[in-house]
Amino acid sequence: GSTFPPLKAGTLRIYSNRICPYAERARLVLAHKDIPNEVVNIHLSKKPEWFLEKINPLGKVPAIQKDDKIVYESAVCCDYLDQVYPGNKLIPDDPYQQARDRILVEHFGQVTTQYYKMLFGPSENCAAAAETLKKGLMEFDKEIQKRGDFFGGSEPRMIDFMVWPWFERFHATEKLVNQIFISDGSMPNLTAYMDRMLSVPAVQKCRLSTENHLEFYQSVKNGAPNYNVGL
Amino acid sequence: MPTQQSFATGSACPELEAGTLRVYSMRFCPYAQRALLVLTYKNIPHEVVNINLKNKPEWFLQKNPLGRVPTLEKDDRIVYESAICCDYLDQVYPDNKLTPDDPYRQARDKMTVEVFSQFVSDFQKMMSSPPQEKPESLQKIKNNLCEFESSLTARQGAYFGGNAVQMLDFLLWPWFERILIFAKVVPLTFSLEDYPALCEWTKKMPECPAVQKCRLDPQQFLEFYKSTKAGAPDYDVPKTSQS
Repeated sequence: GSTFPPLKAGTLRIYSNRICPYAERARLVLAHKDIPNEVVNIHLSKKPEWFLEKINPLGKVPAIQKDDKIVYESAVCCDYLDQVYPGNKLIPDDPYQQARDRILVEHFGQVTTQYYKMLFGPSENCAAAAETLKKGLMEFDKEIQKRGDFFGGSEPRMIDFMVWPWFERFHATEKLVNQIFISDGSMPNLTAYMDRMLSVPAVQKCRLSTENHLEFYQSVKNGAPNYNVGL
Repeated sequence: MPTQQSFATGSACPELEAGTLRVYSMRFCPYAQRALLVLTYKNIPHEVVNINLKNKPEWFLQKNPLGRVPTLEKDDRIVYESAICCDYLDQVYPDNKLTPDDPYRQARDKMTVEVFSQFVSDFQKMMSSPPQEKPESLQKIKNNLCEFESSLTARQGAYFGGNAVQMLDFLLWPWFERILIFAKVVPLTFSLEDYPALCEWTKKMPECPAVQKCRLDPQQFLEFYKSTKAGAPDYDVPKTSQS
């Protein structure tokens, strides 16, 4: 029922949602590259008609808009921002490294599938999904050892910002579904990685706390998603 | 030089010569065809090893734990996932560039590919569901086709790439090639004739030499398709005397 908020010429706007991990990917890139932007949060269970009609017929965040240009799909937004705003480049120059990083994101997609099964799927499948999730994360525990402090090497690169949002939510999820899949000390390399990421300025800017995430998930389970947690 | 016969569980991995680019493929896989189109268009020398996707060789899963084709291998470098393979090839072999230079155009093309993967999924659902369930997938398919029609019309040329073929044309083509084959033997619940620009595109694409070189033999494809519906995919459907 809302109206389209007017967009000033030359302003970069991100359509987002404070708790959406996919939108967080784009917000991390914007923060890391110091790209001035304005944020318009979209209510994800009551999407404004103008959002579907003018911005993204798929109705998903993130979407970015500047003048007459609109981009959506989180990975596409991130790549686009990195190309158009060249400072603090996030995508590796080497095509093979680029390819391997994108492949890693694909593998991580398998992890997030299990994550959502565990979180929102039938409760009788929860433990099995947690087991599968853990196995998937073990591969990442191995991988980070090969790559350095971050998946991007000595510094966080695009790959780190593409996967971080879910790592951010793991502790809250463990509490919510009562399944331990990362906090049992079985993946020390990943745990150390998560700590290092928490010190990255872009992450500090964009993250919500474990308590915020837990509160949000509980509100979803109660049938009334509260997108304003922590405000 | 490996034959076209697919490699299955228990087989030995055919030796790969240093410096040779190999693509692991399957003769009827549309995703693998994306990579073959790019390789062919850019004249990139390569060898093809076909994989039995129902009974995958263990050595293949070592190279690609996801076990999918296409997978590229050269010396110790392995790349998989069709869109990633295509982008990688376009960057590493810079002649006959397929990716648009403009970042916004690149982004719009990737968004179209995303919408297209929905279309693929809806189309597969439609082909495999009983007639009474078709209406829902059908509406989604029609909406998607409208979008592709608008995208194509906006490009002001016969191709998604404008006046010449670009990456997006090759990423979409394999499924339209199959739709055209199906349309000759099965009444489809939608008609490409309703989408004039797309229709023209489906007639233009086969003029492209790379498309011709990588084309499916309709008879073989339909044989293969029948065998998959019967639960026993025949990856090595014999070539007919007319192919």
